[in-house]
Parts: sequence; structure tokens; C-alpha cells
Amino acid sequence: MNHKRQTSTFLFGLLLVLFFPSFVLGQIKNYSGAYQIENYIGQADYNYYVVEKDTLLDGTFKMYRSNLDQLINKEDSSFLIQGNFKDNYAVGNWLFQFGEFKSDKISELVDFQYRVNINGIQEEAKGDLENGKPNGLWLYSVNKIKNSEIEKTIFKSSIEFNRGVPYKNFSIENEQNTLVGRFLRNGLAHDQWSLFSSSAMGADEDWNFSDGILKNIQINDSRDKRIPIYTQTYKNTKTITLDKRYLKAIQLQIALNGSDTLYHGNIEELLAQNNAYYTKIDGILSKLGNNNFMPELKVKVPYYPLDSIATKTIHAINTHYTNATKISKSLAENTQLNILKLSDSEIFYWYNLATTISTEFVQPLHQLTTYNSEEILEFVSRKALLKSIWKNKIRSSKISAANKINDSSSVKAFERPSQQPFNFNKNLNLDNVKQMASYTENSLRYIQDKILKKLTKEERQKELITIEEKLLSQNNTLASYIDSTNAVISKKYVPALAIIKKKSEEQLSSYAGIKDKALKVTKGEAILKCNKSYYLLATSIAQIPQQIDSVKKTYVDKIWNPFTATLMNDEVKKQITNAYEKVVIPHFLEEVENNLDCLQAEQLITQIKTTNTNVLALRNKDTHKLERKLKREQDPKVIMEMFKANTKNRDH
Amino acid sequence: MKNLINIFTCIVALLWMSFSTNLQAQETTETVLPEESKYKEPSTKTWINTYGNIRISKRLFWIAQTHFRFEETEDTPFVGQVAQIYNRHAIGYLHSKKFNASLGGVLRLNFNTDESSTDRNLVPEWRIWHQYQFAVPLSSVMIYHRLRIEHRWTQGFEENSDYIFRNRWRYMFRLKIPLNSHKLKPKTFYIAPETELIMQSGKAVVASPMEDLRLTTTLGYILTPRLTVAAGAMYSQGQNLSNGGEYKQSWAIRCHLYFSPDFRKVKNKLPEIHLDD
Repeated sequence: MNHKRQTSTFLFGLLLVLFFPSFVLGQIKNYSGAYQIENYIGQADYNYYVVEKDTLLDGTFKMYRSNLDQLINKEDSSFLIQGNFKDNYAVGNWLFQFGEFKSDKISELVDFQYRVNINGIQEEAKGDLENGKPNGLWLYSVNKIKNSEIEKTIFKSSIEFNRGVPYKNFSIENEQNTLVGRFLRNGLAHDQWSLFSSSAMGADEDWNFSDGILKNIQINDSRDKRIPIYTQTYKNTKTITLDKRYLKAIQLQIALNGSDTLYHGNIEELLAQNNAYYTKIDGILSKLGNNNFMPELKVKVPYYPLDSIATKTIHAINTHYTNATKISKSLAENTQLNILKLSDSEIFYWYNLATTISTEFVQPLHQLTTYNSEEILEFVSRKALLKSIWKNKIRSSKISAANKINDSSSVKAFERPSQQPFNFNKNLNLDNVKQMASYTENSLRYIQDKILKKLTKEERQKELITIEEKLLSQNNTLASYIDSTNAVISKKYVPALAIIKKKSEEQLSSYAGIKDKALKVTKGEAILKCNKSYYLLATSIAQIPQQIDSVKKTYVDKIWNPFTATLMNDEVKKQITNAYEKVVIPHFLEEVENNLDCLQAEQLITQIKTTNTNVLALRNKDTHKLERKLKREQDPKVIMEMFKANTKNRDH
Repeated sequence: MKNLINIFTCIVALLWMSFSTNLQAQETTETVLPEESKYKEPSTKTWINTYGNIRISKRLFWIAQTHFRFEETEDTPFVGQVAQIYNRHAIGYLHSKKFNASLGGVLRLNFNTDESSTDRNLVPEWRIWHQYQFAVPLSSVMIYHRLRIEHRWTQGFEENSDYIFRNRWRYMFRLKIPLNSHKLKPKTFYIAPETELIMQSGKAVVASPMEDLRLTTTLGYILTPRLTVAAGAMYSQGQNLSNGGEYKQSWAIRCHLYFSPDFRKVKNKLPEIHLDD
């Protein structure tokens, strides 16, 4: 009995101890079901509690996905993320696996399980986390899987962390290279970082750091050369992350040191690869809780800070540079200019000048602004940088360029008027550069203006040539059309057609007499339009005989002649056909012969067409009244008026 | 076409049968015939004929003809005196473009042309006539066959003379050949040779069945589909009624005016005017 009571008390106490935190901190809940983090969609199983509407992960976390159907049919992207959380911080042992697999579709039954061979790539990262930061050794490996076995490792990194800060030794390797090195406790690169190539014996490249500062790069290939980097003792240094920016800063420093030797760049590649893989994990972990997985590989660089004035100056330089680039680019891409420069010495000169400015002024500005945009300006000595950039470049406001197409020795100097002249022979400073940048923009603008003015003139000239070519071709077409028509058409139409030809020729000669080019363009365009009308009028006139014929054919009735026992055509409504043929058509010809101009031509084209159409339409209309009126009417204008009106549909 | 040939054959057969009956009758009659046929000197005439053909419906037309016939006198050849005035009327039926038929009457006024005669100067002659005309196009030429049958009542110029009845059997073959065009159409000249044989029968006809054989050629001009003029010459010969042994001859100037007005309203004219087209 006593024993029994004791047991009960113990069990109660145990339960109380076990569940106390839950009662106090909030209820731990479990989620099991579909879940998505970034692009990863799968099944998740985790514990959490809610505090002030915030979901805090706590306890085990597992998320996974694999799809047999997809694997067998096509390709499956599987993943597994497994670890622990404590108050929303990742803690303890973690495992990340990402796979891209295909199956050979051959299955095997082993111990009551179907086995399918897979091929593909498997990524795996594992290590410990403390308070959401890597702690201890982290291994990241990427393996190529063939027939469900690792065929080869294509990437592997092993970095030791101390609460997120890498320290001690690390190694990163891919199929070609291996990098080994070490960090100080504070995460700064230190000592020798060595790059080995899997294809050659021994280290290829050693990066020698001292307390985060890269002193030199030792090339161990046949060149056996040491590239000095930051060799001096620097008053100011800055600790930055070993990333692309740092690598660019190194390159710039190498250039400033005057060393032309290139290092292999494989270290960059390895670091970049490692960075990409760590970013992937960071992406997942940072979504899940308060975690930061990015390793901070730190280095030190010399620091030459830009004050606010310098920053402003650089901004101004940048603006001038952007504008200057636009102009020089548009000039370089102007096809007309590029063609014209071959024949016009003035254009040739301006073009050469622009090219010179582009190489001598715009290009160095481009370098400077690029360094600025890469945010590495502060890591190099400005004095040395400007000296290096403007080495061998013109620093004076006086610029010369070739001005004779066939004589390369002949040059002409240019100095932008109304700009302060300069000649910076000594050391350059940012203000000098700003002045040069402004001068560059200004000069290019001036040159562009000169070129465009000239081009406009040229364009107009070209336009004239095009117009004149068209004019001549139009005139020829018209003349040959009229000549060939006159050879076959009834004589009464010949004078009218001849007049059209004559008028068109007259226009050409009056055009030729004009001296002013702008006026010539306007006049030429007007003549082009007019010639079109003349051509249409000529074709209209050439069609009149057929039109008359068709009217005649239309105004015919079949009449039975009992004496011959034949059907005979009988002309009907002769008043209409006569008025059309004997009055209106001769009037048209007369108008052409006596009063032809462009406007008249257009009117006549319409009138000829409309009258014909209307006369044809009158055939089947009741035209008794009209015929009666036409009997007395001889005025073509009145007749044309009558042809348009006075019509009524015949009732059948 | 077959239909037309049938009609034509029937009419020819009818004509032939009637004609042979007359021949048989002739044999039994006593006649005083000369031993050789005697041809009189040709007389000269002028015929001025108008032919009206007035459309009255899709198929029917009214034939109205007025002919003025002149004869020579001793002093004046061709047009010396009026010999006959014809008034011929009929209703025609357009069967098709190739065949038409008509039936009507004639009032002919016969003038006494015998200058020595003291008898009546003018006597009427009555006729009933029917006609069947076939038109056959051949290339640009039109060929016409005309069968005309007339039942005529005539009387002499003597006072109170009796009417005698005779039948006339006429067949005419005519061509119309366009001269300045490929077909007969307005503004076309044409030449029209024609031959007409006129046979007769009746109690009075004993030895003179061939009343007239007319050989004519005219030159025509089509002014419009509704108006045509023509003129030409005709030679004719035929037996004298009183004596079959005697043949009269004549030369005639013929002037024709053909008109075919159509007074129907436009809406009735179209499109029926096209007939079978």
C-alpha cells in the first residue's frame, strides 16, 4: 500500500517536471504537413510554440521531399533538411541534403523492398549550429552519384567555426584545385593560403597574409614569381569580408604596384563556389529562424576614406562621364557620320577629335568611375590611382586631331572656346579630374553640335538627291507612257496627252532653276505629288476610249427586226451618250489642253471617273426628263451637273 | 429545227396536191393555144411599197402594208399611171427567230390601165392570205423561204362583172447579203436577190397555172433596227389567164420602205424582246 502511494507521488512529480516548461512558456505544438521554404516544397514535421503571434520553432525539425513517380518518369529533385531548434535558433546537429536524380528504371527486389538505382548529384552539408551560427567543423560536399554509389566528389569544403567565425584551418576543393589556409581566432585570414592544382605537383599559388593583410602572392609555376600586394605599413586599415570586392581591390592594387603578373584566379573561383553553397544553406536557415549561416572570412585592406567633399566631386565626375559617354557613343554609332567622314574633311576632323577625346579623356574617367561603382576607391591611394589612370593620357585642354583625309601628318589643334584652359602636368587630384570631366563633356557636346549641323545639311543634300532621282524617274515614266499611248490612241486625245508631258517637263525646268536648297526640297516634293496626278490623269485620258466604248455597249437594246428576222443592237438614250461623248469628253480634253495645273489635274481625274460611272448608272434609270433637258443643253458643266443629279430608279 | 422542216414539208405537199388537181382539171377543158408560146413585149412598172410591221405583243405583230404600183403609159415608162393600190393587213405570229406565220386580208384597188377601155376605172379585189416564212442564217447571210397562199376574189372592169375565185400559191426564195458588215445591223447595206414563183388555181384557171415568176434584186440599207429602205429591179413573166400560151413580161423598179415600230411600254418590251435568246 505504502509502496503504491510512493509510486503515485513519483509519477505525478515526474509529469509535473516534464510538462512544466510547456505550461509556463506556452503550449508546444506540432506541425506535420505540406511546407515551403524558398523554392523547396515538401513535407515538414516540426515543433513550435507561439508567442505574441510569432511562431517560434522549438524542438526537432524535419523537411523532406522525394517523388518516386517523378524519379522513374523523368527526374526528381529531392531534399532533406533535418535538425533542432531552440527558441527559434538552430542548434545542435544539422543535416542538409539536396539531390537531383534520375533513375535507370531497373528495379530490384531486396528484402521485401523494391530498389531502384539512381544517378545524379547529391549535395550534403552537415555540422553543428549554436544560436543559429555554425560552430565546430562544417563539411559541405557535392558528389556525383552513379548507380546509387558516389562516383566522385566534385566539391568539398571543410571549415571550422567558432560561433560563426571561421578559425583554425580550412580547406576548399573542387575537381581541379584545392585551397588550404587558416584564420586567426578573430576570423582574419592569416599565414599562408595555398592553392594546389590536382593536375600538377606542389602548390601553384600561395597567398601570404599577415594579420588579415595580404602581403603577396607567390606564383609557384614556371614563372616562380612573387607579386607584392600590400607591402607597406598602413596608417589606416579596414576589415572587410573576403569577397568579390576584395578580390577586385587586390587586382587594382597589383596594377597600381606596377606589376603586370597575373595570379591564377583559382582561389577566387573556389571561394565563390563555397560562398554559393553556404548562401543556399543560409537562405533556408534564415527563413526558419534567427540564424546567420554566412561564414565571415575576413581580411584587412588599407583604407583611404573619402570625405563628403571628395564624394561630391566624384559624383560630379560621374555625371560628366555619363553624359560624355552618351555623346561619344552616339557619334560612334552614327552610320551617316561614319560614311561621311570618309569624304568630308571637316567631318573627318570632328570625328577624329571626338575619338581622341574618347580615348584620352573618357576612357580614364570610365576607369575611375568603375572603381567607384565597385566601391574599391577607398582601398587604394588616390594619388597613385589617378597617376596610374592618367599615365600617358592628355591632361591639357588643347587637343589635336588629323584634319585631312589623305594626309595623316596634318593635324589641327582644338581648344573648346569659352572654357577655362588647363594643363595638369604634375600630380592630379580629384578636382583636376572633375575639371577635365567637365571639359570632356563640354567639348564633346560642342563637337556633336558641329557635326549634327553639318549632317543636317548633308541630309538635306541627300534628300534632294533622292527627290531628284524620283523626279527624273517619274518624268521618264510619264513621258514613255504618253509616247507609247499616243502611238495607239485616237488622234483627238494626243494633244491633251502631249500637254501633260509638256507640263511635267516644264515643272522640272522650273525646279532646276531654284537655288535655295530648302525651297528646292519643298518644291521637289510638290512636283513629285503633282507628277503623280499628271500620271493618273494621263492614264485616265488613255482610258476614255474604252470608257466611251463601254458606255456605248451599255446603252444598247437588242431589237427584233422582223424583216431580217434578226436581233439588232439599237442605241438607246442617245441624248445621254451624245452629251457624254460629244460634249463632256471634249470638254475634259479642252480643259487639259488649256488650263492644266496640278489642282486641275486632280479635279479632272475625279471628274472623268465620276462622270463615266454616273453615265453608266443612268442606263437603267428613268431618264425621260434628263434626256429632254439634255436635248437643249450644250454647256459641259451643266451637263456634268445633270449627270450627277436628276436620277430616279426605274420602276420595273 | 425538225419541227420547222415538218411544217415546211406539209405545206409543200399541200401545195403540190392542190396544184396537181388543177392540172388534171385542165386536161378536160377545151383551149385554143398557140402552137408556140408567145411572149409579149415587156411592160415597165414602178412599185413603191411600204411594209409595216407593228409589234403588239411578245409574239404577235400587225402587218400593215401599202403598195403603190405604177405602170407605163405610151408616153411615160414605169410611172405613167397608177395601176394598183394595195392594202394588206394581217396578224403575224412569231414562233421563233426562224419561223413566223401570218394571216390576214387584202384590199387591192385595181385601176383600169387600158387607155382605150371605156369600162369602170376602178374595181376592188379581195383576198384572204396566209403566209409561212422560214429564216435560216448562213454565215453572215440570211436565207428566207416564204410560202404564201392567197384566196382571191377578182372581177373585171366591166360593169356588173362577177367575182371569180382563185387560189394563189406562192413560194419565194430570198437572200439578204450584208455588204459593209459581217451581219445585218444598222448602217448596213445589203443586197437581196430573190425569186418568187406564183402559181394559181381555180375554175378560171385553165391553161395558165404559172401566174408569175419574179426575179428581183434589191439593194437595201438598214437605217435603224426599225427602219430600212431598199430599191431594186424586177423582171417577171407569167401566163395570161385567158390564154396559157401567151406570156406577159415586165420590168419593174421597186422601192421599199420597211418600218417596224414598237409602241409597247418599255416594261413590256424588256426582256421579252429577246425572244429565245
